[in-house]
Amino acid sequence: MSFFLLKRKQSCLFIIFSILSLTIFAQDTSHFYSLNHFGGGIETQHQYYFSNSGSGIVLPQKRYASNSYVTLNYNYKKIIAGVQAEAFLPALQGYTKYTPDYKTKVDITHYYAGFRSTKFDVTVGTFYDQFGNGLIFRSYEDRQLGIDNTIRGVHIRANPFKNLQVKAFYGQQRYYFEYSDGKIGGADADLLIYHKQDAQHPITLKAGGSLLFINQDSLAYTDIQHNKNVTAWAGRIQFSAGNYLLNAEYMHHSPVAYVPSYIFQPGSALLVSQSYHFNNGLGINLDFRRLELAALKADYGIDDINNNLNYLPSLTKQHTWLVSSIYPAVCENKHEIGGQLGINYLFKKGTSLGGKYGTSVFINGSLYKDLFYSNFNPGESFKAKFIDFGGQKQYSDINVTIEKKLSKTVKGTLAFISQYNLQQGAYAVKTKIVATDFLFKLNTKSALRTELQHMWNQLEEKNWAAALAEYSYGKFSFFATDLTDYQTSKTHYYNLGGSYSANAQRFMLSFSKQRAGLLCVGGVCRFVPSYMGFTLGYTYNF
Amino acid sequence: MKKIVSLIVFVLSMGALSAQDLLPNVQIKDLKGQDIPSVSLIDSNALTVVSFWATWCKPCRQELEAISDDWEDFQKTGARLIAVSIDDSRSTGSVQSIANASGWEFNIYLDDNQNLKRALNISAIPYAIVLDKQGKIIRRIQGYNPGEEVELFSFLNTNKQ
Repeated sequence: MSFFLLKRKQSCLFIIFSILSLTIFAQDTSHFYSLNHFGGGIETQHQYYFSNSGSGIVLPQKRYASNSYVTLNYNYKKIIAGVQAEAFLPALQGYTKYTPDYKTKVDITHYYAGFRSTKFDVTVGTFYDQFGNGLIFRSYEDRQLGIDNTIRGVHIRANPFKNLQVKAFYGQQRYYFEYSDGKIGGADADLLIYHKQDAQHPITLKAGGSLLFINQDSLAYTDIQHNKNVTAWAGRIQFSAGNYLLNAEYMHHSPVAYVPSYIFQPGSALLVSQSYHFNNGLGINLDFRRLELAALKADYGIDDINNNLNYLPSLTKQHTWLVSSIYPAVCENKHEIGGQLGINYLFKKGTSLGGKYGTSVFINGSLYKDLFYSNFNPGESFKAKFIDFGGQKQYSDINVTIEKKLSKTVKGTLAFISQYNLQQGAYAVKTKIVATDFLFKLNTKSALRTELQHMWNQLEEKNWAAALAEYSYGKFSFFATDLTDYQTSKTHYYNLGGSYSANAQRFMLSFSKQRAGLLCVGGVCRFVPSYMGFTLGYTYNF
Repeated sequence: MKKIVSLIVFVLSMGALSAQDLLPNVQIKDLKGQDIPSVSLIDSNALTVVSFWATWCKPCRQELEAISDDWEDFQKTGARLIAVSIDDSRSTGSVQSIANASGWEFNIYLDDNQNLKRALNISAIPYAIVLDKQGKIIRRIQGYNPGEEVELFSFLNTNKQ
């Protein structure tokens, strides 16, 4: 078959495998490790579902589902290439947008080749990148959330001078098994303005700027005002002096039409982060953020987390307790103002509060409010004051975590969390959580970890409780968790299973009853329906 | 399906061919936000343990705290420990502060868009690799169970030279 008759994806793969086949056999065995490197990985997860009428859990259309990812990366000297194949047979519950018709889908989703050196690299095919803090652009993969907004196109990075780095790209964003209609171009520069290398008081000042261009000529909006070309710019500074660090970035974009609100106007995002750590074990970090219609999308006709071009996570503490996942912080990305303060301190060994082994205390507080005084009407534009804390409270969280090694074999954690979470602008859920975690080292090979958690809540499903027990022996681990709304439906959401890890391989088998709700990672959330069934997982990488 | 099975076979065969590999050279950041090449983590005089973690990852912090608790034993191995945080812009600001309050004495770097994690094909953390003096990956450790640090120390002592 003529090369020119091949489709674009096949052409890319043909080029990549041509490079691979040439380089595999061109290796100089005496310098094998300095010339060639193959790396890859397999991640596969399979589920088999059961119905549970008592809990309202219904069977999905297919009893069996699986998600699998196979990755292969290769480099020969400075030449790089790689592919990733994905199989959804069909997709697991919660990932059904990958196979909405419940049919199987197998495809090669990533393919790239290029050149990479310390001063310059170029990639043709699929790639990920982030400009600054991600306020203007971030492409990344999070398999737990089912997010992969890789860009397919051309990407260049260069360091023309010692203190300057520039990046540029052009391409289309992945949207499940398709690519966005919108074409995206971006450029970014990062300049080191001042750097004083001093052991006692090092000082660094950096500045950066980014541009992003989105063209949606192919989209056909008929009922709303629409600007087919969207431009965005961002500027940032980063300053550090001794133990102090300041990181600030501002992004602004031209008017866009937001679906489903149908608002047509520009937007912006401002992030100011500061931190300071004292040499006595005290560390403080303070973040401020203001968002005004800040979401940038490759296709403004779709409202989906897989369609975001920039990264605007909830700037709150990411809790890991089971009960704290019931009402997670969700950043609306549209109009909020607020921030968070973290104070962390180590009471050192030998002090009255530190005891024999020391005590760590982590305190965090966050508060976010609606940027505007009143709600907007569809189709109407509006103006917001730049700094205005008079809006409706959206979310607040005050939490304290104390971690202490109690003896050579016992470690304990005690956490208290108080949250306020406005649900869809309608009513507030106020919760109080107390949770404990104890780790008992039984001997050099085995350990038992237990968690007890309780959440007080006046509304909706009222109080919740959870417990966890995890026993590990060498490379084996067995776990049992239970989460229950013991005052209302009294349903038990459990997870029983075990895992085995051996170097780069890990097997996992579990049986669980999953509660319907939001699964959140990094403040980005995805809805997962309820299900009951077996899960078998395997990962291997090299 | 045939395509993916073929690719799995291909990947596994390539894995068998390249059981030992080099640390990929991609950009990560120090805690001041300065870009640095990942190959600068290699120490030509000592083995280096690179442990991937995040402020929100409980077993990752357990692993680092277990090593920190036995810090003198770790230092006797002659190896270096580097903790690479994959926290993104949601929590990078608290990385240094949390490390401070945990009393960790090892160096920390940031991989905020997971360049290095991706280049090493790591799908989940905690995950640690051990580099020899030439930057060759001589061990990969996926996950963490309490007590596994003892086995790591033993591996580092055995492979000192």
